[in-house]
Amino acid sequence: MATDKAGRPPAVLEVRDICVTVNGVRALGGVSFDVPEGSLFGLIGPNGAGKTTIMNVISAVITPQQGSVRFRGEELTGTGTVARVRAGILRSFQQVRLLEGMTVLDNLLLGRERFRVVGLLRQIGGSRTGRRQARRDLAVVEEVAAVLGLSDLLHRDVQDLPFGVRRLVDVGRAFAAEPDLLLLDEPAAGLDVTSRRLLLEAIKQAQRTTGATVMLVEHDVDMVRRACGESVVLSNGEVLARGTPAEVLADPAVLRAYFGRSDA
Amino acid sequence: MPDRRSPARRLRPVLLLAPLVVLPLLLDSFSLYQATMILIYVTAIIGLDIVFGRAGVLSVAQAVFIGIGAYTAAWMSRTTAVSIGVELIVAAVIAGLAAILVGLPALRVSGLRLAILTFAFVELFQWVVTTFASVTGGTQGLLVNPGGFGTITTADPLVGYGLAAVIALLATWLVIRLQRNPIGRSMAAVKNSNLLAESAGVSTVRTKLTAFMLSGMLGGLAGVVLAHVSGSVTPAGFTVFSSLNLLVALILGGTGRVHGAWLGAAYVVLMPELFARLGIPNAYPIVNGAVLMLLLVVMPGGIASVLDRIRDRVRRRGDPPSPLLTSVPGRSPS
Repeated sequence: MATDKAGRPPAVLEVRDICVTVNGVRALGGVSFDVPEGSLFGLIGPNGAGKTTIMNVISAVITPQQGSVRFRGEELTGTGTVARVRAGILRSFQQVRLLEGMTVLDNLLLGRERFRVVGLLRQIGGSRTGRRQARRDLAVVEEVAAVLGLSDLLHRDVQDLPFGVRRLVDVGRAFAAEPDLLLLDEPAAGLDVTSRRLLLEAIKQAQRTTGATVMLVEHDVDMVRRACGESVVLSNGEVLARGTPAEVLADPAVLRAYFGRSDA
Repeated sequence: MPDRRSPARRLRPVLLLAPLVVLPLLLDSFSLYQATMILIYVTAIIGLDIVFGRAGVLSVAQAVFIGIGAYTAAWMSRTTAVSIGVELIVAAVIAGLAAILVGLPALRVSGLRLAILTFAFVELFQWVVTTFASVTGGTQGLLVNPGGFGTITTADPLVGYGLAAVIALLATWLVIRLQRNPIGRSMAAVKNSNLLAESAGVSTVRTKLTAFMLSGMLGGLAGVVLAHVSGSVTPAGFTVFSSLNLLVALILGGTGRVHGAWLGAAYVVLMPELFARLGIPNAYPIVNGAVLMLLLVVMPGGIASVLDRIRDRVRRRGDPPSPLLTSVPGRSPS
C-alpha cells in the first residue's frame, strides 16, 4: 500500500470543516479529520459529542450547512446515500436494523445490493449474468458468515435470534457489501462484556479478511483502545484530540471531557 | 444439471397443481364459477401483497387496476377482433403505467396519508368511467363479448376457469421468484425502513415504483379475466370497498406469504356463500368483522403465518443448537 511522507497510508476519507446545526443547536462546529486507508479508525467521545451526526454526514443521511467530505480524493458533497453506498461507503446503525421475518442469509445478501446490475425482467425471468452474480453474492456472504461464526444460522429467521447475534448479522450485512469504508455506529451498544469482546474480535477478523477501512464510533474508550490504531476524540461537536488511543487517552482535555478532571 | 432435490420436493408442484386440474371436472357450474372467482382474487390479492405486504406501502387503489383491466377487455372485445392474449398484454401495460402514476405520491408520503391519496385515485377512476359514458357505458357499464383463442372462448366456463388458473399460477410464480431475489429483498428493506434500504444501496424510488407497477399489472390481468367471466363490467365493481375487501382478504390470509393470498381469496369468496347457504347472509359482515379483529389480535401474520410456524417447527426439530447461540448470549431482542 502506498504511504505518505510520514509513512502513513493515504487518507481514504477526508472530512473538512463540517458544521451542522439542528433546530438552532450546534451539533458539529468545524470538524476535520482524515481516515487512513486500510485502518481500523476510532471516533470516540462522550454522549452528545456529535459522533452519530458526523456518521450521518459521511453517509449523506443529513446534509451539513458547511464543509466537505472527500472519498478517495473525490468530492462527495451533493451526492445521496445510495450513491455513496455504491461508491463503497457502508454503515451500520446504533439500533439494529434487520429484515425482520427473513433469514440471516437474506439479511447478509441485502448487503450485495450495491452490486446489482441486472434489470427487473432479467431478475424475474433469470439470466446468465444474474445467475453469475447470485453465485458470487452467495460465495461472499458464506465467507463473511464463516468469519463471523454465522454459518450454522444462515437459514434461521433473524427474529428468533438473541440480540448479540442480531448485532453480528447487522455488521455482517455491511461486510458482505465488500465496503471500501465501513462506518460502525456503536456496534457493541446494549451488549454484555462477553458479547462485546466476541463482537470486537469478529469485527477485527472481518476487517483483516476484507481489507476494508473501518471507522468505529464508540463512547466506550476501552473498546477503541483494544481495537483501533488511530483515533479522533469529539466533544461538544469539535475535535478535541487525535492520535493513537494511548496518546488521546493521555490528553488532559480528553480526560476532562470524559471524567471531568485531567488526572484520571 | 441434474435435479438434486428430494423426490418429495420434486413431486410437490405436481401435488399442488393436481387439484386445480381435477377440480373443474368434479364441480357443478356454480361451484366452478366460485372456483374461478377465487383464482381471479388470488391474482389481484398477490398484486396487492407485492405493494402492501412486501414493500409496505398501504394502497387502496387495487380496485382501480382491476377496473382498468376489466374496462380494457370490455372495450377491446366490443371494438376489435384480437385474441384475449392481446387484451391481457394491453391491460397489463395500461394498468402497470397507471399504477406507476398512483405510486408517485408514495415517494413523498406514507402510511395513512398515502392510503388517502390512493383513495383519491379510486374516486378519480369512478368519475372517469361515469363521465365518459360513450366509451365506458357510464353507470350502466358495458357488456363483454366472449374472448379467447380462435374457437376456444370464455363463453365456456371451463375456459374462463383455465385462464384464471393459468394467470393465478403465473402471479404465484412471480411472487415466489421475487421472494428470494434482490428485488424481493429490496422491497423488504423498504418495508422495514427507508434508512435501512438506502444504507444498503437500495433505491427506494425504483423499488416502490416497481412494486406499484407489478401490483397494477397483476390487477389488470385479474380485471381482464373478471370481465370475461362476469360478461359485463360496471363501475360499482371497482369502488374503494372492492379494494378494502381485497385488503381484508390479504390480511386474513397473511401478508408477505405466497399461500396467504390463496387462503384469503378462498375466505372472501366462500364465506359469504356459506352464510347464504345457512340462510343468514346478513350475519356475514358482522362475523367477518369479528373474525378480522380476532385474527389481528391472535395471529397478526394471518392464517398463513400459523401454518408457517408449524412447518418451521417440524423442520427445525432435531437440529443441533448453533454454538454461537450459546457463546454469544447478548440479551433477548427488545
